[in-house]
Amino acid sequence: MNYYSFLKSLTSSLKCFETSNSFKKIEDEKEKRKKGRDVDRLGLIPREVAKTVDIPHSTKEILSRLPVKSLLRFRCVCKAWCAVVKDPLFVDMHLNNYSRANNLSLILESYDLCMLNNNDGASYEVAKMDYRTKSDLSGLSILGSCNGLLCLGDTCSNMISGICLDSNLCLWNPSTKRYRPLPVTPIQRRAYGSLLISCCSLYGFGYHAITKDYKVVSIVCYDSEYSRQFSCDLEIKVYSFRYNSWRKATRPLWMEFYYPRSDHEKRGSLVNGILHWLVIPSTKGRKYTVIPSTKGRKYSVIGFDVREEIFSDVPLPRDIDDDNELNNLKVTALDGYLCLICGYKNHVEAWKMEDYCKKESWIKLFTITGQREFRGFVPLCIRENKILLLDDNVLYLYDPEGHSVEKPEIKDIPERIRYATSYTESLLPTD
Amino acid sequence: MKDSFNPSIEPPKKTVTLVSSDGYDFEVEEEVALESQVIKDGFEDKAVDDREYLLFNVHSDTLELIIKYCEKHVSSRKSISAAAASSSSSNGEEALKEWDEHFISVDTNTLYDILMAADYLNIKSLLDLAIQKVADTIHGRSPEQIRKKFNIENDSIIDPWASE
Repeated sequence: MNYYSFLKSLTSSLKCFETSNSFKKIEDEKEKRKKGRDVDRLGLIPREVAKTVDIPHSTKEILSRLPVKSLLRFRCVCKAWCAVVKDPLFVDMHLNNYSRANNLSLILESYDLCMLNNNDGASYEVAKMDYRTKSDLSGLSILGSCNGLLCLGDTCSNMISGICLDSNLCLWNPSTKRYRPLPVTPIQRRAYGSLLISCCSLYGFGYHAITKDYKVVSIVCYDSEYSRQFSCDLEIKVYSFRYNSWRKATRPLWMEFYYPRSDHEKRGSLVNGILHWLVIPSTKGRKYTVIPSTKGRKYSVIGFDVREEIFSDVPLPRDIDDDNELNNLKVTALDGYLCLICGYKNHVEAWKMEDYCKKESWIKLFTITGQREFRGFVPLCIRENKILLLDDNVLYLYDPEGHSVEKPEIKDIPERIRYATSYTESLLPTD
Repeated sequence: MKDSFNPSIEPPKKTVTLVSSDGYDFEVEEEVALESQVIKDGFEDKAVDDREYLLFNVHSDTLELIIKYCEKHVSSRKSISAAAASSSSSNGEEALKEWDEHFISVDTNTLYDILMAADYLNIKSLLDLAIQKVADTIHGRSPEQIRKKFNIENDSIIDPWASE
């Protein structure tokens, strides 16, 4: 088969909607436009794009490997290409093919949002993101990132006013610059007339591959009369992207939350369609018997199944279970695996769960010893066998082979990075 | 690596004949031909002595390249697994990647021929390679350049941004 028959096969099915009649109209329209006459275009050309356009599979394959910026530009190549970019099946295909072939980027949250791109593992590039054009968030914060969608929230006002929690949440696709504000639902207090003394929220943003629904989970912990008598009071709400509404989820009796100390801890880590947070099981709970440690606390990791909307308990590595020296624990997602950071008195260990929810499959990734400053780091991604860490608002590059930690040289890097998350561009619609 | 195999130990290689669209015969080793999923599927159904495949859609120039690609991949797969077995360090995969990159750096017509042949013969790795190459060459182009390249008539009178 030669080049021309290839082109022919590519374009033959593009033209399936060109019935002679409508095509003539288009030609007429072109002529009229050339003459500069003011014509009613709406009356002449159907506005909606032909829905049954069938582009050859190989063309779709090629398009699915292009960056979003190019695809948006190519929408005006022809109607068929424009329709393909909006096709949900193609959006999925693009998500699989493009992100697999290209390095993930990181989004850094400081006073602004920046995107950190990695060029061939050697150099990094920082680009400011223009989010203020469509959303007016003052104390902006990333609450989750998934398949090219970011969940943004106004956490500052949450902490101050307390009452208007979950206001100003929105979903945003930075590549297509589309965003969707989430509906506001006030917190429903359990005991009528109880006081809201202090409160904090845990958030999660997740996706389930089978149901293809995106969900935002908001868990509000607050002090009330009830909480002083029993345990911390919680309200768990789940927003479904498909139904564009919030609903309450049931709280397991055994669950009590640990108040997040850093920004990383309040955001759920998505692995296998399950969001993970670090919690302290209730001392009054039925599920756990609490083994006293130096701080009288025992950590636990809970998972929230995005599809089923139920909580489960995630087994931790056996080796860390009864260690009294453990004074800091963090959970995060690293390249699709659940990762655990255990801060001990003199060293920090990073663990990775190879097989999901199997206690035996936890393996030790690396240990950093001696360096006092690395107490609360979070690994962000692995590049060329080096691990990018965020510690105390600064990025570091850790080399497991040479056991060295260095600050990577990045131009225009923001000074205080509150949070960083991996990001892959996608065409996912927000409307 | 290929030379290091002792032919006296190895059983005689079975071969298959591939016939291109312009009538040339290519005799290749069986395992090389089996890189193509289409030939592999047909292989089980065929009679033992019938080892000829007529490839109506593949020109001899393209077929030559395809066979070159398959032979390289079969041999380097062997050398990689041999290196893994003897636990000696090898950068076979990286070398193969480089070779692929060099292999696919061809002119546009040849690239499309390879793409169509890989699609027809269902050689997944080669198809991926060719598609990625096409994508790399077009991603920075303007819509007008794309129309020219793909021979597409401009029917978008409507501004794509207007409907949103």
